[in-house]
Amino acid sequence: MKAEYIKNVDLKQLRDLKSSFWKKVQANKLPMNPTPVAMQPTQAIRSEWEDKPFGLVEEVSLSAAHNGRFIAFRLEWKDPNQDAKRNDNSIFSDGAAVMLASEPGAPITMMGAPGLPVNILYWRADEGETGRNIVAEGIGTSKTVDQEMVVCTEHWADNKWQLIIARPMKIETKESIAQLSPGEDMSYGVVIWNGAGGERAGIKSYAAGRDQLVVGEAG
Amino acid sequence: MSKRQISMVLDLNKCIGCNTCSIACKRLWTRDEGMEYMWWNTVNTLPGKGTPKNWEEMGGGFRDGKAKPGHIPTRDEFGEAWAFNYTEVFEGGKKGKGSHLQPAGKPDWGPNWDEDQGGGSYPNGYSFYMPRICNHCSNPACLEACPRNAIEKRREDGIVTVNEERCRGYRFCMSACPYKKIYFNEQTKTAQKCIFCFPRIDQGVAPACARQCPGRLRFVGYRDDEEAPIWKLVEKWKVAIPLHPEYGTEPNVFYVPPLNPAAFDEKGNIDESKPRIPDEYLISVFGPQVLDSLKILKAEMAKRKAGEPSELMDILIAYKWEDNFGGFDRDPQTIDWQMTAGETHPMADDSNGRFAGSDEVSPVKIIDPRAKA
Repeated sequence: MKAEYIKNVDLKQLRDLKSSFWKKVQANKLPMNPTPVAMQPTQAIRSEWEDKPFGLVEEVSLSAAHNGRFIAFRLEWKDPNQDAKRNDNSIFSDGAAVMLASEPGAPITMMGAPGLPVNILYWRADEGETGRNIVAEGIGTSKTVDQEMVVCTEHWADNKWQLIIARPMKIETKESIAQLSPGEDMSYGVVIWNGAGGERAGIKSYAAGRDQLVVGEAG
Repeated sequence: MSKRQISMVLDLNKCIGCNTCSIACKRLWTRDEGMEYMWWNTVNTLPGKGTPKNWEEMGGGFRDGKAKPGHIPTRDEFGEAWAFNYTEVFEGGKKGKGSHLQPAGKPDWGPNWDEDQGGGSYPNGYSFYMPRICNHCSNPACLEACPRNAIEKRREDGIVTVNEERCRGYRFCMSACPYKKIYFNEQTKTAQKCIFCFPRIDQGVAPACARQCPGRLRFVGYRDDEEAPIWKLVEKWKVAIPLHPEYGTEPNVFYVPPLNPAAFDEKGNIDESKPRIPDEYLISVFGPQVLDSLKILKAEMAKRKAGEPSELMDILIAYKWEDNFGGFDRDPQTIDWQMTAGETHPMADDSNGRFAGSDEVSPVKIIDPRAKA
């Protein structure tokens, strides 16, 4: 898939679900699957979820655009419940993330591996437009690098979430985040958590891109 | 694996249900925003639903060595911190005539809602108090359940703590803990629980719940310290036993079970052949070892009554309260408790919050586990 270069748009327009350019950017339908129970890191999680349905979101539509300075990912998926509040211990929020390989060969399905980090751009409905910039080198190792660089725009209506997650293409940091340049490509994936189903952590739907994410060149 | 394991023994025959322990803990640790409904130390009446409501039916822990799925207690099940009409009563201008102090709404549950209800029926009603903290288990289900390794068992003393920097609030620990002693803080979005007052332990001071107990029923110390009461009560005399050992987490909090008086018969006479508290009930709470424990206690009581010496009775009587603490008997007021931010922390358990720093003691800098870097 390609993150299309869009001329003459600023971050505000990139983050706007109603911006007209989004109609011209190809949306890729990705089938999603529950993460395998056997891959859950603890016995307690495996026992609790071995007979319980999860991975409730079955498909996500993903498109991407950039203006040379910022990149934005647009995600849309069906969800009959808007779970955006965390008002009891047993209530969980909807969430979504785009995962990018920070290094060539970083395994997306394993959330990276030691020495092969992935960069996760994370949104949670109860945290609103403040996204998280996360790095991970394997399951259970995710670490929030900052809560400033990733910004989100969300809208839930008609049993559907529409979400944009945006980030500067390059960020000066010592952390192993993905640095994006036009013409480059990398592995990617998407993760969705359905809060109403108690989904959180490794209990989620995921889709690993079958192709590479290509950052479109200007012109 | 911890090098040593700190532990607590609670003698249920001395607990009067006053909840001084609960308040000592509340004042020290759970006064911040998001912690209003938290009671890391609770005292409930058994038989009863407890805190959270019906916690013994919520699953978690291990069965046959396998993790058993559990329920995450809701805030309603724990019992919300009720909002009271203080302003209306004290500043409402009606001089106490118009409004009575009462919680807002109509609460139907709280952390000690079924106090003193107990079980059985007249004339054989029965009840006892059950003070509870985190059991700082040797096989902690919470630690096993966490996918982020955010729960740690301290190597030096086996105290189980939540690393709030790593915790992402997934709450698998809450469903996994069979004792339901972990809370979720909506402000910090992290799990929080009893820390066995580890900053005090580090300085040789017993936990606040133990030091403040007017009944002298709490013993503190290392499990392997053969000179101290914990080892003697658990290993030597075998009268202190864990709560619900069948949960499989190997608790490090132990209880001297309630002595069971004889029942009344139909004519109102004492029937020594029948216990007031059914054995089945005690076994359901403490496991089968409870009957042996009670036998030992009764035998030693009889010895003492006959004028013979009894080490066990001497320990349980707690002539000197410092002897309950296995060396963790330092006076918290002799320590200059400082937070990293330079504030003084209300660590001293004296209710006036005084901090009598002594010239003889070097100021000790501790990191408040609640303080964010």
